[in-house]
Amino acid sequence: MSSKDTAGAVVIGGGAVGTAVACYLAMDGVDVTLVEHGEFAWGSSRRCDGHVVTYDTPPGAYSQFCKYGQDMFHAAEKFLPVDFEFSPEGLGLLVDDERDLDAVCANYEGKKNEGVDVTLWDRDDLRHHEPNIGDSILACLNFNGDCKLNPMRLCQGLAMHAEANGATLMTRTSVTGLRTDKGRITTVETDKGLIHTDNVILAAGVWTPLLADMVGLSVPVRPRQGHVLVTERVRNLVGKNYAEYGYLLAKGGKTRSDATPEMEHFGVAFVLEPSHAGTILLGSSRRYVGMNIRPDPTVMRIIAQRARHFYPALADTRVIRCYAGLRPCTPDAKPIISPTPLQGLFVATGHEGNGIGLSLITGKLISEMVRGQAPFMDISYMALDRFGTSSVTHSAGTTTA
Amino acid sequence: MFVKVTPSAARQVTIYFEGQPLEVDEGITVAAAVLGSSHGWTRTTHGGHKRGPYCHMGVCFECLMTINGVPNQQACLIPVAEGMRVSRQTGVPNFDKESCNHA
Repeated sequence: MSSKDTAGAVVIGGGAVGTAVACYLAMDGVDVTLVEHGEFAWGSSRRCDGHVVTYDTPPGAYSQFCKYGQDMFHAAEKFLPVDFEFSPEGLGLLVDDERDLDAVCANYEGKKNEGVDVTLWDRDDLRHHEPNIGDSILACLNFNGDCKLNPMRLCQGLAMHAEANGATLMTRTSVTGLRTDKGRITTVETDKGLIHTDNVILAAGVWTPLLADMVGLSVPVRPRQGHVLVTERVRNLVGKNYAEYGYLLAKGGKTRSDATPEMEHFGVAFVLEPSHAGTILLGSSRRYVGMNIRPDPTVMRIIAQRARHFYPALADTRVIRCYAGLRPCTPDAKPIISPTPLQGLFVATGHEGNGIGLSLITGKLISEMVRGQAPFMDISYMALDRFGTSSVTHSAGTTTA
Repeated sequence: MFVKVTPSAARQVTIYFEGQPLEVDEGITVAAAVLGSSHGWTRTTHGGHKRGPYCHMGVCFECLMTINGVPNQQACLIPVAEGMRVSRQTGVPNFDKESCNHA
């Protein structure tokens, strides 16, 4: 990988968000350098699933933001040099508790009014489409435009396209410090040397607070651990992506009527994604355990049990792999796509479980900000200052971690 | 291709490979039984390429077969049993409500 000692902008982080930011900056003509501690998709972007969805946001501005972010993948599929296994096959929200049906139907109406392609399957429709569904599952709300992709291939494609548009890619490069002068960013210190620049974008997911801390800036992002189980290859067991309605409740921190204490404790809710290779990805869990990414057998067992409840035939398939990743989580569950009190310093993180799906729109918006344009849609509610954290120590000429 | 190195002292059992009866020594694995009968391959990849047992110790997963109706069984780890029905697995197997063992 090449390196240069000056850049128009330096993006720190080579996951889905970082590579997307670098890609859009490069496409928009900015001389950009991407610095990644390991390789592309080295952190959370390879320890997740590939859902690109709108089902998990209530109707409103943020839901429309997610929809726009999703639509951008249809265009990216045409210009990115890597087949990232994009499949707009839809996602179904499964209901197994009668008490949830009213809320699901309200969500259905709200989304429909927003122009989202949704359909509702009753018990019989569901069995017609999914013959292997568990006997107790009552209904399914289908988000027909929801998609999935392969996150690692996406990151690779974005990085390659950034490079083709003039970006410098520096992998295996650690940022050791950020230098400022008179309230503006000037230099990125790395273990491969200095990069002088006017713009730095912190897009390092859960590691972003550590970088921001180098310049005395507080970014309230916490790592939230999530598990994914991967089965052996199977065929015809399941038709498309599914999640359980309780996932929305678990995500929102609400209590679910039929969840066991263990499920509540580990934030377990059923999510399923059949991959192109024939394996099935099973999730999910949510808990705060610091930077720990070691899979926990107890959490794995509860996820497997929950999956069997929805698809009993999964009991006969082997789990070949399990991984846990860290989702960058903000206090209000919305990303931070924002300038900072330091001129030239931008933050793009906090997407929690939606970083893959929101990567492209984040890249586009950050590129607009760096180039001094007004964002094409209102994202004021994603600004860093909504947390009241503008505690920058401007006096710091050089700060090193 | 495969020859027994010791004379058979074991009791014989009958298994059914692709529907055909096969007399084999009791105590050997399904993979050994299939290889010893010169049938060679045990499965195909989802791309259609033939595969046969390779590691014989449960690591390589090249010997996956359908045994008594259950797909994706590691033939190198499962001993033969009287009346066992064994078939090659072509491509990626179906797991569904009907064919599976779940309670």
